[in-house]
This record gives sequence, C-alpha cells and structure tokens, in this order.
Amino acid sequence: MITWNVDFVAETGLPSDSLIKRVTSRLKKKQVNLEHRIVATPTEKVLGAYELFSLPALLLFDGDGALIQRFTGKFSIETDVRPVVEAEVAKRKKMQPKSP
Amino acid sequence: MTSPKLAALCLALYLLPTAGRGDEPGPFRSGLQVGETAGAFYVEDVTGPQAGDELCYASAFAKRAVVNVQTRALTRELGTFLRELDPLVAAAGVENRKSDSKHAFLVLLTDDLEKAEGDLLAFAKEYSLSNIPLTMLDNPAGDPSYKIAPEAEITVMMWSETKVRVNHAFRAGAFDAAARLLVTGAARAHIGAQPPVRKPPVRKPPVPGEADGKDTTAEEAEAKKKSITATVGTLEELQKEVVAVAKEGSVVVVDLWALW
Repeated sequence: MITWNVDFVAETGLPSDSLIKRVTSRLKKKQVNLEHRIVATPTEKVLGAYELFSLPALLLFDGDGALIQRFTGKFSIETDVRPVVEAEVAKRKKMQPKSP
Repeated sequence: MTSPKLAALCLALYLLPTAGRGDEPGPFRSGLQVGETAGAFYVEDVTGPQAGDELCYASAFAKRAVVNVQTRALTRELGTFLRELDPLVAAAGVENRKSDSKHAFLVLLTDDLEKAEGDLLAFAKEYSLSNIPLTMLDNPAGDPSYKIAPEAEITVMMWSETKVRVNHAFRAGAFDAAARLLVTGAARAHIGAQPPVRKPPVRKPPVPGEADGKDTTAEEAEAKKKSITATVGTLEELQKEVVAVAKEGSVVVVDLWALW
C-alpha cells in the first residue's frame, strides 16, 4: 500500500519544505508505516486523472498496474476494500502457473 | 448609495457577530460558531455534479472559501439569496475547482427524502441555481457535528481554510428581506476577501524526510528521527512507480489524502 499526499496546488515547481515537513509530521503522528509520496502535481489534476470527486479516496491497481477500482465517499477498508483486494489476489494466484 | 459606502456597509455587516433575528433577546446560535472547524459530513447530492450520490462537499471543497446553508425550509428569501450568490461562486465539479475558487452548497435537513428531492429540483429551477449544489440530509436534526439548533430554520455558515469565519442563524420566518441583505453582504465579503495563495518556490526537491533546519518543531524533529519519510514525485512518475510495484507483486492500493 502506498499513500499519496495531494496537498500540492501550484501549477509549477515542487512542494515546499514546509509542506514536506507538515506531511511528514502528520504521518509520524499517525504512525503510518507505509510507503509515502507527495504528489508534485496540482490536486485537481490528480483528482481529475482518476475521476475522483473528493478525498479521502483509495485506488486499487491490478498486477499489471491497471486501475481496477476506486473507492471514494463513504467506504470502509474492512467491508468495502478488503474483499475486493482478497478477490483480486485470489484471482492472480489462480492465474499463476503451478510449480513442478 | 455610493460604492465606498456600500463597501463599508458590507464590511460592517461581515464583521458583525452572530446575528440573532429570533423573537427572544440575545443572539440566536445555531451551527458551528466563528473559529470552529468545518469537518466532514455526508449529504445526498440532488442537483450537483454527483446527483444521486452520497458525498461530502465540505471535503470536496477542502480549504477553499465556502458558503454553506443548512435549512429546514426552502423559502422565497432563501431562493433570492442563493440566486444572487450563484453567479459569484464556481460550479462544484472537479474541473471547476481551482486553488482560490469559491464555492457554496445547500443542505436541506429532512425526514422525507423523496419529497425533499422534488422540492430541491423545483427550487433550483425556480431560482436558476446552476453553480450551487442543492443537497439533502436524511436527518431533520442535522449532522450532530454541525450543532444545528432544533429551533433554527436557516443556518448560514461561511468558512475558509476549514475555519468558520461567519455564522448567521435564523428561527422560522426570521430570514426576511433585511436578513437576506445582511447575509448577502457577508457572503460577498467572505468570498471576495480571501488571502492570495502562496506558490512554493521552484527548486530542487529536498532530501526526503530532511527538513531545512529552520523552525523545526519538536514534533517534526521526532518525525525525522523515526525516519518516516515522504518522497516527492509528479503524478506521471508515481503512476510509473505503481505499475512497477504491481508487476513485482500482486495488487497495489494507493491511499490519496490531504492534510485537511
């Protein structure tokens, strides 16, 4: 799982030190031990790229990197996301050639 | 009235504390008060770009200047107010949201969604509302976090950077022409007086997790020590990373979030 922070709003340039500090600080505070990225692309472009209306949102990509599902609005990791991830993982396992 | 006088009046109205227009003495309070944080709450979109969906407009508009009306009645004066406000705000779709765009949305508090939906559609048509999404909440008491008073008919909250800057609340029948003028002036001032958005300087990305050493708080220093880092990449770069990670493993979940 990867997190993308999408607070960057400028059309050009890179996230400021201040933003990076605030993002890092929040992640530490929440103790989120994942891979974290700050998207250096304006928020609305990121939302537009995935047809997202608002945050938070969760994107699920398959083993080929193709977007298979997006979760936005009211969703629960346990009841909405986990079953889809497990189904996708099971599907991938079935497709893998059996070892001799 | 001359423009400077009108501007001064609008400013004076904007700076007024919560204006009670009920019958009882003292200010009538309903909704989030000045300084409080406007948090997430879900509504059903009726006339906005996500019509039919349940969503959170407060989150969608994030830190932008927002005028939010939470009402238990769709009155003529309310329609007139929204008709005046509608061309001054941007439409709610993602493509219309800029860093400094202004937005508004209405929430009808109801226990009859079917009737409310019809009423909202007719209201939008009657008052030519195209930018302001009309939504409904299946709870006549309102979202508890917004503290809408039981006796309030109309509560208008205006926030930016998620902090409430203006609150006007009205009991049944109190939102009259005078109240409408007051709220319109406040709304005009609110959406016209936002601080400019500061753009970050263009330069090389700093080493992930390493701050520049200036103004580092104890919390930030601790974060650095525990090596939780966030690396910077453009959307295109991060999309490539997702594809690469997916090919190594199985599925990839990306959690998009913002500080707000």
